[in-house]
Amino acid sequence: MSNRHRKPSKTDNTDESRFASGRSIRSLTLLGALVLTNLYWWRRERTVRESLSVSRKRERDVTAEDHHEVVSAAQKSADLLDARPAVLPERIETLDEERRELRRELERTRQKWADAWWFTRVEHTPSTADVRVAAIHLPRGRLEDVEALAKRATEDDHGIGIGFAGGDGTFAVGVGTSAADDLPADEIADRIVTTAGEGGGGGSDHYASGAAPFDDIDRGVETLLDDLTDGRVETDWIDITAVGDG
Amino acid sequence: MTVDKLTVRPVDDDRWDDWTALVDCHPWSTVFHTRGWLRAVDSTFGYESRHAIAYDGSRPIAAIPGFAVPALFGESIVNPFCEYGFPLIREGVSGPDLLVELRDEVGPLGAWIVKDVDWSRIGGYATAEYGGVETGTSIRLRLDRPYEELWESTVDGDVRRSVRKAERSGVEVTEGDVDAFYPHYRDAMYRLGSPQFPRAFFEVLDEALGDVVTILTAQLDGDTIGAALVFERRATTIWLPATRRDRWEHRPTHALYATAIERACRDGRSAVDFGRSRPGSSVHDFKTQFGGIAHRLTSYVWPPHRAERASLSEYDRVAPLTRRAARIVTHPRIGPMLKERIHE
Repeated sequence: MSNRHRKPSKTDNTDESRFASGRSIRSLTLLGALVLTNLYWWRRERTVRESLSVSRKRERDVTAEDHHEVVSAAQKSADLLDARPAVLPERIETLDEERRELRRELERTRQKWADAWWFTRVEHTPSTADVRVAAIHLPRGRLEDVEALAKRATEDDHGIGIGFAGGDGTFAVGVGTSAADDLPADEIADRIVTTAGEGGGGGSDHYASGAAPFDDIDRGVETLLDDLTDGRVETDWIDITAVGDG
Repeated sequence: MTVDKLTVRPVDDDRWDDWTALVDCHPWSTVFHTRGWLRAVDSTFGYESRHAIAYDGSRPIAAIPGFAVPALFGESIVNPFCEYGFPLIREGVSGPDLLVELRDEVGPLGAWIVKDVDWSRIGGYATAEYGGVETGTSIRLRLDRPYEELWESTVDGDVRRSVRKAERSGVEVTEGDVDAFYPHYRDAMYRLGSPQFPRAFFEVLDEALGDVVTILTAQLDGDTIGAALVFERRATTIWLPATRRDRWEHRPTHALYATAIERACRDGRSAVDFGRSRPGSSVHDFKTQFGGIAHRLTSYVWPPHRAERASLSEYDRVAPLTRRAARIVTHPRIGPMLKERIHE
């Protein structure tokens, strides 16, 4: 008798049921594993996506902050110049040219003033002396100011010009060609430093400069002029402080 | 500056001098990069040191602090218990190149967590494919003018009134020691339901960092009503303030902060760092009253799929529970053990 026509026994039913049950458990386990695997990968993908998004955002922010700083600085500069940021290069170029022109103008003014001073205090004053020394103290002056005076003095054959700038504690000495035979500029600079008691200076026969802080400029310069000229030459000393420009 | 040959080496005994030189000269270095801090963490918690130092040939160009701390699976390399663990990179060195090199230091189930802040100006995390997790903000007050001027122009009026109130109440701030600080710190942790550092950690910190560690105490009628552990380095970091709740009416916390700021101004420090807080929290609001700027704190993690290891949101979620279980969480034996596991 063929098995095909055999009536299923109780044992067969139990085996079948066990088989079905085992298959179900396997299926459920596989399904569970599949769900868990999917969950894991879904969560992992989400974590990667979100965290990389934070990193990229930070990267953009850093760049944006740099950009923001530049824009902010440009806007601030534009506000100061009362201009639009777009025209800043043009405005800065114009300003720079204006600044250069002002410096040139200042230099011309210094020269004019030095001419006027030398003319008034020395050239226009009748004198029979061979060498004439003119000294001036500008309480707020700087080296550039007294340099102009010293250079003007070098144009006078018999002149010696000494300027003291109180603004930065410097001095400049200019000596004309003939006067330099007796009193070269660098030697005068040395004597200024010696009289002040400290500082330093140097230069050539006709021009010298340096720094020498005087406690009492009037007394110091009078001592210096006495020492320099030994009473043999005519001197002129003016302290701008004393005449009310301080 | 171009780097010819970038190599990353573990920091062994022979390399500590290079490390210290780099940290000392780097403008953005913090107390949490110093050898003293790393030594204190090492000797108290016994984590495996994974600090790395990068060289261009023989020239040290970057220092990266890190300890291997246990994770659920594997380990994470991180500078624990602090806000700042970013690499100190010499100017001109490429951030992405270094970050890519660091990836090789991570084991199969590991992660490298770099705690960064926006003022470090380190870029390249995205390029090096590190995943980012925002962890809050740190408030930092720049000290760009004398204390009196800063106090009048920057600090909120409520703070000024509170400090005056503390003065009127007779609160005096003086320097103290670990003995004076620890009971207040432990009580504060109990209140928060947060595991505490063991006392030994502060003693080692004090010893390892020397003058950098200052403990300020608030005194009232001869009684210590609060204390703060402050790091005074280039910047001042007010790290752990702890005051008695039953004496808050006398504003001891305000007095401690004001004194720390005044000392920082007097000593010519660059900034006062008030540490991490979460925007919207009362602590954050308190700190912002002192006029500082909130800087974003971000932890970057390699590999990015383990970014959640740097997240602090789980701690926030369990905070209500731990507050209820404070007695257990801050038990003298259990608290430090939990702290070692949590490492935040």
